[in-house]
Amino acid sequence: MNKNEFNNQEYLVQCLLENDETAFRYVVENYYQSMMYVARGIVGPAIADEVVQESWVSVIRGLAKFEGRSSFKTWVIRIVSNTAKTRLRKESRSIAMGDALDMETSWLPDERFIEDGHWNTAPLNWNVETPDELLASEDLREAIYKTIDSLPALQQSLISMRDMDGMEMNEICKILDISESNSRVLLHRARTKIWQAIEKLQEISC
Amino acid sequence: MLSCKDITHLANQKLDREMPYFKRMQFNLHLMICKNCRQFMDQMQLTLESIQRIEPIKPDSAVVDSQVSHLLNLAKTMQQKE
Repeated sequence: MNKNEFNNQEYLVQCLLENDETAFRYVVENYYQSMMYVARGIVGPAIADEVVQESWVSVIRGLAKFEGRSSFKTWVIRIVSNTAKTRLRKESRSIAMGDALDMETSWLPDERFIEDGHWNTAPLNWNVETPDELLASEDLREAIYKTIDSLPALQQSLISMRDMDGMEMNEICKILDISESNSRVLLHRARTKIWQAIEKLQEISC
Repeated sequence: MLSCKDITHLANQKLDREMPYFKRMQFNLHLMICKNCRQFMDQMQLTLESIQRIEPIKPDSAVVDSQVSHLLNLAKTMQQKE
């Protein structure tokens, strides 16, 4: 079976309902990491895996009722979010917002600028000019993956949902229960960290 | 007049095309006269496009195998109960 056929979500859901192993494999390979990021963003890393496992049960139970009003992945992510929030309520906890509260910290070190706000250390020249060139480099790809992996949980969730899955910001804010202004600051901080990681490798190769 | 530091703070609004008109004029004016900030914005754009296009991180094959087998069992058990 051609996995590209699973881009058709009606077909994917039908195959899942028929217990097609390839369809389950496709969903795990392509959704599991995003589900973990969202769960970590809401409940923190310690019980994120338990939340994902509980979410799978709800996904399978609800499959026949999926109406296609959103993308299938967004529907799955909403289930993870609801499961995580229910878990928090049961444990009388609030959303793990540690990295959202520290909004004032600058994302680039102050020493990169002089007092009047102009560059002190200007951005280095890069030896790549297009996403194709950048992603063709194993080192740069690894730098992106490693930086995403090291981000605080909420920033991981945001990068994953907004930039990698292309979800709408208002949907993401509902899922994570954070304001749009906070989410934009966190997203910018995450993107800037990835820019810094790429720049660091350019420095080494110069 | 926006400083280079301001440009780095506002970069995301520009990348996501959510900058109000007057701010956008100030931003573009700064870029016209500042080569370093033009370079920064080009690199941030390239960073964003690369994040958008990079393959999703796939879990280890052992994790995939165990999750798939768990899900198939779960689906079959739930269907039997119905």
